Amino acid sequence: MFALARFLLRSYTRKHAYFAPLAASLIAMFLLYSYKPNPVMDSYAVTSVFLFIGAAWMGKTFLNHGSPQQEQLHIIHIGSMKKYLLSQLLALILPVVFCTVIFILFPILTHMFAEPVSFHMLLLAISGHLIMGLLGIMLSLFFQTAWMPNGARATAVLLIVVIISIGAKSIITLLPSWLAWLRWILPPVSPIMDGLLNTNKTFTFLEVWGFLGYGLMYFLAAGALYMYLSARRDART
Amino acid sequence: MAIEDLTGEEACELVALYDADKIYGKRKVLQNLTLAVVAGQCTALVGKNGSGKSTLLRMLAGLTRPTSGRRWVRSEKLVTGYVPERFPPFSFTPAEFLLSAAEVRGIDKAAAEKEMNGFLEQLGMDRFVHVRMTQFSKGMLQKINLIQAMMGGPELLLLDEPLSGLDVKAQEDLLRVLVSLKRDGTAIVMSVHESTLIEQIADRVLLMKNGQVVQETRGDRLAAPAVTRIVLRGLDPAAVREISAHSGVANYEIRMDVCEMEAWSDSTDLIIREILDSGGSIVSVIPQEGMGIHLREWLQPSELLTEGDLYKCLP
Repeated sequence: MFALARFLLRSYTRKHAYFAPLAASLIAMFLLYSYKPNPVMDSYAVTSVFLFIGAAWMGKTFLNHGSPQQEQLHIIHIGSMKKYLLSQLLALILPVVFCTVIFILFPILTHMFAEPVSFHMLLLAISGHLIMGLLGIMLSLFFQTAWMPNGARATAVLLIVVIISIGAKSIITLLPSWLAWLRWILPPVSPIMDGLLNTNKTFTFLEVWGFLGYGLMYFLAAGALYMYLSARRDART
Repeated sequence: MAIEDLTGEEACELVALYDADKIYGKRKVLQNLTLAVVAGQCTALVGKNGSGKSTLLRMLAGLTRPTSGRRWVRSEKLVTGYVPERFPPFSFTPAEFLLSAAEVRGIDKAAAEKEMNGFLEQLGMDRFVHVRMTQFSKGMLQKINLIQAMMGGPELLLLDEPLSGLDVKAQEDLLRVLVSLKRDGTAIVMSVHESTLIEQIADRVLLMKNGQVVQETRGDRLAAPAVTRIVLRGLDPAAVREISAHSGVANYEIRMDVCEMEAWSDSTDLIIREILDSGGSIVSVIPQEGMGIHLREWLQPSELLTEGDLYKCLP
C-alpha cells in the first residue's frame, strides 16, 4: 500500500492539481500573520480551519486526478479495491501532515505570537490541525467523481457542506428544534474551532481534548462507512 | 446460457462466473453468463461494439461486480494482468511506471527490472525506456499497456483489444510473447476484432451479442491449419505439376486455362514466387482461415495477409 500511495502522490504532483489548494491555504496563512503579535490558540484555531478547507479541496482534486483506466490498473496491481482505497487515504494524509508542520512551525519560527507557546498548547494545536485536516479529507471522499459523477454539482455541494460545517454553531441555533439533529451529521468543525479559540477561557483543556476526540471518532466512523460502501462499488469506467 | 461443462475442468479453473448479470440503470449489459476460465487456455471474445465484451473482461478481473449471479476466484491472491482498452495518459517514463507497478505488486526490484527490460526489448521499446509517455504514439502506449499486464507472471491475463494501435511487426512480437505465456500456463481471455490472434492462439471463441454468449467455437475448428487458395493461369500442366510437388501445396486442380491451387498459408509467399518465376500469373489469392466461417462477419481479416492487400499487389 505504501508503494501505491507513493505512486499516487507522484502522479498527483506531476499533474500540478495540488497547486491551487496549497497556494490558497498558504496565502490565507500569510495574510493571517501579516501583522503581529497574535494570540496563540486563536491563530491556530483559524489556521486549522484553513487546513480543513484546503484538505477538502486538495482531497477532491487528488481523488479525481486519475482516469478510470488508471484506477482499474491500480486495483489490479494491488489486488483489491479495499487496498486501493486505503492507499488513497494514506497518500492523502501526507499532505495534511506537511501542511500541519508548516501551519504550526511558521508562526513560532517567525515570532508571530504575543506569548510563548506552551507544550500543552502545542500538542492541542498539532492535534487540532491534524484532525481538521482529516475531516477535510473525509468530506472530499464523498464528493469525488466515483461517488458524484457530476463534477460541478459535487463542488457546489462540497462547498455548501464546508460552509455549513464552519458556521454550524450559529446556523443550528437558527434552525427549528426538530432539525437540531443536523449537528450530529455535520463534520464537527465548529465545536473544534470553538474549543481551540476558547482554550482555557470558556473551555478547559480537557473539554477541548473532548472536542478533538469527537472529531477523531467522527473521522473514523465516516471513514469506516466510506470503506464499507466503496469496497462494494465497481471500479470507474 | 451454460457454455461450458464447469465440472470437467474444475481442477484448473482460475475464475468462473455463474449466472452473472450486469445491469446499468435499465440496460442489461451482461445476461445470465456462466463461464469458467481455465489455466493455460486462451479464450477469445468476439462481437460487435456494445455486445458486453469489455464488461465481461472487467467482471472476470473483479473490477465490476455482478448485479446478480456469482463470481468465483480460485484464490484472492490470483495474479491477474489486465489491459484496458485505453491506456491512461501517465506523465511518467515507462521505467518509472512499470517499476512502480511491479513494486505495488510486490515484485523484487532487480527481478522487475530484468523482466521489464526483456519485454521492452521483445516489443521494440527498449530505446524509449526513459522517455515520458506523454510523447508516445497510440501504438507505443499500447505496448506499455501490454507490458504492465504481462509483468509478474500473471496466472490470468485479460486483454481488451490487445492489437489496437499495433503495427504488423508489433502484432507478431506480441503473438510470440502470448504464445510463450500460454505455454507456461497463463490463462488468456481477450476481446478481439482481428482474426490473426484467434487463429494463432485461441482455444475457443465466444461470440457475444447483447450481453450473452450466443455461440462457442472450440478447439479443432480453430486449430485447423489455414490454407490459401491461389488461382493462376499461363502455366502448362507440367509446370503446375512441378510446382505442386512442393510440400507447401496441399491440393491443386487444373480447369481449362486456369489452375486452382491450395497452399498451406505459411508457404503462400514461396508458392506465389515459384508461379511467377515459372512465367505464370496470379488471378486471385484467397486466404481460407481455420476458424468457423460463421465468425467471420464479426472479425476484421488478418492484417498480416489480407485479401485486399494481395489483390493490390497483383498486376
